[in-house]
Amino acid sequence: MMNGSIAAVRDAIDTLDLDNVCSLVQKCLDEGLTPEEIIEHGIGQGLDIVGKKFETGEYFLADLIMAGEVVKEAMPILKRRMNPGLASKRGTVILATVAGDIHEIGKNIVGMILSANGYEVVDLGVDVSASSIIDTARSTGARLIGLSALLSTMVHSIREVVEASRAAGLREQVRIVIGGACTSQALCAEMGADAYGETAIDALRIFNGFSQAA
Amino acid sequence: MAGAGPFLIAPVASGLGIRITGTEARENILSPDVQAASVTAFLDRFPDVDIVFPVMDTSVEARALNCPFEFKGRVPVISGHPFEDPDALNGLSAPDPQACETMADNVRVVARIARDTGRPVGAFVVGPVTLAAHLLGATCLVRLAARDTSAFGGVLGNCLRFIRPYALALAAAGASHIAILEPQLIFFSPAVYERSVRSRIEDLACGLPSPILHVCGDTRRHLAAFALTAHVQVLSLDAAVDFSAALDATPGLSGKTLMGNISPVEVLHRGTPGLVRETVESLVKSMRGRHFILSSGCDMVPDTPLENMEAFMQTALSLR
Repeated sequence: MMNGSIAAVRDAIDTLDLDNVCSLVQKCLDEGLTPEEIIEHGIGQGLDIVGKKFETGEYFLADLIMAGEVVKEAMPILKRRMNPGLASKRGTVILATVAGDIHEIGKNIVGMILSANGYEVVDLGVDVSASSIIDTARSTGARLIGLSALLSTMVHSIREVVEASRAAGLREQVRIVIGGACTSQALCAEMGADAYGETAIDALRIFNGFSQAA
Repeated sequence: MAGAGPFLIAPVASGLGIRITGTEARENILSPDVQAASVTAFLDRFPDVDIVFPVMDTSVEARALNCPFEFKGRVPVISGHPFEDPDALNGLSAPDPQACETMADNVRVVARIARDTGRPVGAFVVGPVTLAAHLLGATCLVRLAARDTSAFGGVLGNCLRFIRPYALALAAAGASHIAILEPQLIFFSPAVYERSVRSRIEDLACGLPSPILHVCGDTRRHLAAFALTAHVQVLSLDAAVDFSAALDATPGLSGKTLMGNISPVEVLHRGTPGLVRETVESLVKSMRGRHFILSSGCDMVPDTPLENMEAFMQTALSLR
């Protein structure tokens, strides 16, 4: 059975309770629970519930952003006590909005969800060149890349990243996931990417799949 | 086609004029003369559109309020949110649309198009939610909506105060329709719309010529609330909404004219003329003679193939 204090953290995420999440997380720590337990069973499960509510239409994008804000509020307390190994447990994800596109809200939501679920996120920002993304993959050893694109005129930038990974000899090692308003499953195939996620929750599921398969 | 009733044809496609004239998007945004020439060139090529729109630019009001911006792709994009404190908006004066160059240029474009073409001209303003997101940032706005309804309402009230004079100036310049663009509205639930947004949209639309409310994305759950929005005559919706199903499921919608909703990306930009024809036919058929405005679901991208636009127009005209 789930510890009551962890359940309260989970519920705080679910109910987007920005005001109380820190004290609830602190209570868990004071009771001797580890940050890893709190993240996995409290924050992670809370985000699962939020994700399901978003997918079923009960929650809206604003609620997803708020859930990210609640998690952001709680994370510093946890990070201070966290085993440095946890962040790399699931892997490192490089996130970027592709060259020529500066829309970032969707990417940021994905980043928050991934961080809260134990990924180390390297957010390169917006309008990021293919070479910069691949250089980062090489220097960090990250094998998961998330690309966001909203402008249909910039979808060719996705192909540039795929080709740059091939030119760098990394294509077999990296998994490239795309998302954003102008992307689709068909575009994913056309551009030679590995997966398409329609929502931030989709993205988490996809990265979890790749992470477990690695 | 049996059952096809009267409908207007009004694609949000003047960006294609940029392509036809071989000009740069930036010049069109910054020069009323260049933009008016592009819109005229679009009309020369596609003379049967019923309402012509200028080039869409959702940054005008925010730029007028000194938000930083960058040209990315074809349009200026707001690159920073200068107001961290919502109360700071209380002390801001509304930009004078005749004196503020950014707004005055757009007013001149609308006046020129109306005068030179003699056509109904649609003009754009952003809605209060979208302007608020530009001024404060989307995350700040979301936090405000969740935690301080009163402050959220105050921000929207200020944004209404900034937008309304510009909308009136566009109407005075000859706009026959004013489209209120609210791409950021999709972030919020219908409950938030009802509680805090609807009255501001109504106040903005009141007295404007043929107000259109445009919201991108999957708005199916918002339609009942949109249907209740007074003064808005036209709802411009994205391809995610099945018009016929929406009208059947939401009786209140019959009081509004629907506008849309051929996908500007999947169909008009990336599709073939055959797919465009098929999609337009399917939409017109599904409307079963109910009045609507055939359009793109959102702004069309300038490098949309002209043969797709031709297929759109030819199919529409053949069905009318």
